[in-house]
Amino acid sequence: MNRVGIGTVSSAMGIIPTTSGWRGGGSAYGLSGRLVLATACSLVIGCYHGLDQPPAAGDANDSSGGGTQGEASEEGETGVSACEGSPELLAAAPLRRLSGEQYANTVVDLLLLDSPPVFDLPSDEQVGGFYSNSVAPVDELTVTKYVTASEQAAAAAALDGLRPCPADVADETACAEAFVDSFGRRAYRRPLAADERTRLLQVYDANRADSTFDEALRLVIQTALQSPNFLYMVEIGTDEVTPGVRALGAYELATRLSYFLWNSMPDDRLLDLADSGALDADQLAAEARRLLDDDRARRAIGSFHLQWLELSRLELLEKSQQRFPEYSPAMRDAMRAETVAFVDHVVRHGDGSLATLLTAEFSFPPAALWGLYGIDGTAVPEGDPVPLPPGQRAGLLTQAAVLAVHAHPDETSIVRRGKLLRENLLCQVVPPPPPVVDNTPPTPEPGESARDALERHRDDPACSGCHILMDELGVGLEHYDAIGRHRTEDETGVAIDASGTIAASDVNGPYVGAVELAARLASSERVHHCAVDHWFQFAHGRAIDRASDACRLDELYGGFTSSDQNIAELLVAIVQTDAFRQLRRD
Amino acid sequence: MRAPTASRRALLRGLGASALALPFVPILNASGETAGGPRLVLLFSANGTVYSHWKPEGTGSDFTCPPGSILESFEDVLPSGRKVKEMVLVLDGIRMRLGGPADPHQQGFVSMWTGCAVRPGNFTGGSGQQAGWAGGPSVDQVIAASLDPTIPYKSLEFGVQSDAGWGHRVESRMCYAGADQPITPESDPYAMFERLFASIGNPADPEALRRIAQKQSVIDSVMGDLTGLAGKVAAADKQKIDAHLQAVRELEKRLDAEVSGLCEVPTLRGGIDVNANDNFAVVAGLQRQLLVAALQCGLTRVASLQWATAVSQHIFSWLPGFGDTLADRHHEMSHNGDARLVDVNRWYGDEFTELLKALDAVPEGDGTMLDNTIVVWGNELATGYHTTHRVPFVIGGGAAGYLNPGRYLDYGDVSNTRLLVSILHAMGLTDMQTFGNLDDGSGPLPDLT
Repeated sequence: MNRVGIGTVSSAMGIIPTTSGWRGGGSAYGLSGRLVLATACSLVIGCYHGLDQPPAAGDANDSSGGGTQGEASEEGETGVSACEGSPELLAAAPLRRLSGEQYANTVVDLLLLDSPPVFDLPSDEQVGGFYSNSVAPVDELTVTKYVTASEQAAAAAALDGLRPCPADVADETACAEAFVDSFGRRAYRRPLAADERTRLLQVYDANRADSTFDEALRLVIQTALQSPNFLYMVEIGTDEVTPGVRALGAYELATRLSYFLWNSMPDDRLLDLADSGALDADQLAAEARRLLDDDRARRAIGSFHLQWLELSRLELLEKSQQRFPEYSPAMRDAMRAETVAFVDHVVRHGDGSLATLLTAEFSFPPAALWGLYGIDGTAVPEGDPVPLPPGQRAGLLTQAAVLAVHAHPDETSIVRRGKLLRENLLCQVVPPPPPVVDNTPPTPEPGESARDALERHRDDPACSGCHILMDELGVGLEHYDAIGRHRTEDETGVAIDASGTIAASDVNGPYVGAVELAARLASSERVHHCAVDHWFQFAHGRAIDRASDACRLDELYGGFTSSDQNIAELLVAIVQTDAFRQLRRD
Repeated sequence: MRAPTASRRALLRGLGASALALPFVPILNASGETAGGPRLVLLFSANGTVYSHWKPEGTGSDFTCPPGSILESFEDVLPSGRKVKEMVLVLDGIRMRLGGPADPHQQGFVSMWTGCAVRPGNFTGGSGQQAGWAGGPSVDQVIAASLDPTIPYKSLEFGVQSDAGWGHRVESRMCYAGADQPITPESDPYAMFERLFASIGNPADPEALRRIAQKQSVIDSVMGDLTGLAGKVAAADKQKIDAHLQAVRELEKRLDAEVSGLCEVPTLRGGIDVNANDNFAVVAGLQRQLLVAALQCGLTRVASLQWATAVSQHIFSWLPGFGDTLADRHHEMSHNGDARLVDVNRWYGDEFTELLKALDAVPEGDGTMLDNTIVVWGNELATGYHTTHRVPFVIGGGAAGYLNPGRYLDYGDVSNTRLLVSILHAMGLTDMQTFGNLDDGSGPLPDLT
């Protein structure tokens, strides 16, 4: 990385192509909180001499010194065959432990619950921008919490639906054995090995004397929920496809599929298909469509978008009560609910297109948000899309959840919002500012807008070089305050100017306002590829390994274009790649 | 500029006492005998200090912490009648060794107790690089592993809103069992209370014995599955399974301890939101009391208490002059040279002193538990401007005679790894002369003993 600000304009711009779609997700005050302007610009150590010669519009491989798409395209020219054949072309897939969401979803499905108990599990690791516990091992506290959670879950289990016999059955031993077989297969997502079966039955046997029949069965449930075969997505693989590369076992494949598309365990049909050996590539596609048609897919679609846009932070998002007395936990929950309902609708029931996600003039705001949006949704039947005020909103980026998370407690943040668009939509990482700076957002002088203050603040081209990458996108969202309400004046009472000029992208050029900005981004091939990258990482629970994955990604990029950026089709395509169906085993 | 100190501290004590009725009464150790060997407590607060207000006046054993300074509570009197400052070592001139693809907050936070560089990984660091976890174990974990394996808990990690803003990331984990093996602190005092004390049963109670037997049968099965799996997964994944197995073994070890019971325990009534910004001080008070109780009751000899996170954005809303805007947040303040930073750091200094007082209130042998403990309070930075020379480290306690406290020591410019080696020596690991992959090999800090 160019650290001293010399060299060509392009290298000095300092955009780093992200290999993992970095996000500060889960971080209420992540680096985005620190990506603010340097007043002591002479101390800038690595940033960049500005964009006085911005790359021409439409140049997808500009400036980033080897952008993600550029590399991918070169690889792609070698054709499909290059995607297979050697272990180096398949990235390693580390053992993954269930995320907190996956744990809760799985418990609901496994134990036939309506909703999960309130579990106290430690936070998840983030890998490739998504929750994936694949690097750090568990510690003692985590295991302690798994014990407690398993006790909670076992106590809540709907035993009548799980027990293959009446509670007062005569031959309890036979029933317990049948229970271990049927429940165990669902808990471990495959039939039990003989020794595993024996161990679970030993728990039953050891406790039946001092416990009731059902209590003993609940102890079996507890045990299974503490087993690594439940807590981890264990992938051993089967036959070698090529040296160093194994096909996933059918049950392992079923498990990858269901955690990708449901964020939860496979259902009986999927396990039966695995059992019968019918889960080939064609069947996999059909099953992917079946899973997407099922409402359980809402959990995965919702989770993906919440993580992609860093909205998990919403859960604890605080706003200044002085500035936004109307902001409340109920409003915060409604913001989340709106976005989940919206993405689920578009991907699974609507036209499925990325463009719709980014430009729709409708949404699904709960009543708690009607005031914020200036609408009255009373006349709209429950579950139908609600039209938003014309010209004010455009898809995800103008939804309250996104606007509130990517703002300060008391005011908007042009920088944070711009950073979100640059990094999470365009998949380019802007380096943080040098450390020794006053990072207080500039205070507008009387009659000056926040935008003008920011521009004044970044007078020095050494600052603006980095900042226009973010700020010129972020200003497009200035019509929305720090909780997402549309406005015509900013905090200082100055009229909003939401015009900007996009640079360093394939959709360069001036625009006015969020609707036009969103439409521009929706037309960007970079954004299309970035969405593919994120879905790929979500599917695999790991960061993209560009050297190994480029070829497959290029295929997916091509398919995404052919389908007019249809998300559902992309998900089906992802599960059909060899990367999804195979395992590297060094 | 600031509210009267006495009333503020009295308020904090009041808040803590209302939530947890002291004292814990050790059963096995009620006679006040010395419980062989020193104990270690690591403390952390974030975003650097204000050096001019942190530095004591004077040198050596002749130093004062004037009213209004960050360490002013060191002039307080301990329960044993000594002054706090007689039982501390204020360490000036320590430089944090830094390494790895990360920003200074991340590097400093990792180096503070591990002496290691940040490993490459999946978190974004400075310069857009991808930071990971620490490259080696923290000093407390190496010590914990060296101690008597029959101690119920090898170590206990307490947090106060220690996931806030970050979740499970390099900014929020300061203790490591090894490279890429962060240890999660418990940030919920109610959960910690439950874990430590609530499961204690009466050995004469058959129901308690039945519960132990159940747990043992579950653990047997789980260990069988873990052992079976360890033989099947790839080498890199086997480490994860082994770590899991080790954690389960620790749980198993304590099944008996649950019956024996080491302390009479008061009840703790729950109810507050431990993640709410404004409850920070109350949670800190509860965790402090639980930490002291765990040491006092012989549940562990190694503990840590992490106040917030690196890059903390906490709002100290109970101090004068704080609103709820961006400018009121700790990390923002630390970059702005905000005058309230002195108040913030003084609050942490007061908490440090409260902990020392609590330890000193427990008689032990000829002295108090404080005489047999080493408390080390660190920070990931020296100042909010990301400087890393003169990181504000303070030691409290006597470490069972190893330390010669009661002094202000300016080392000029020495590596934090030397402090880590000193901690190892204080805890009996005197063969270790270096610690962490950033260590320059100069041994322990001179003149501490």
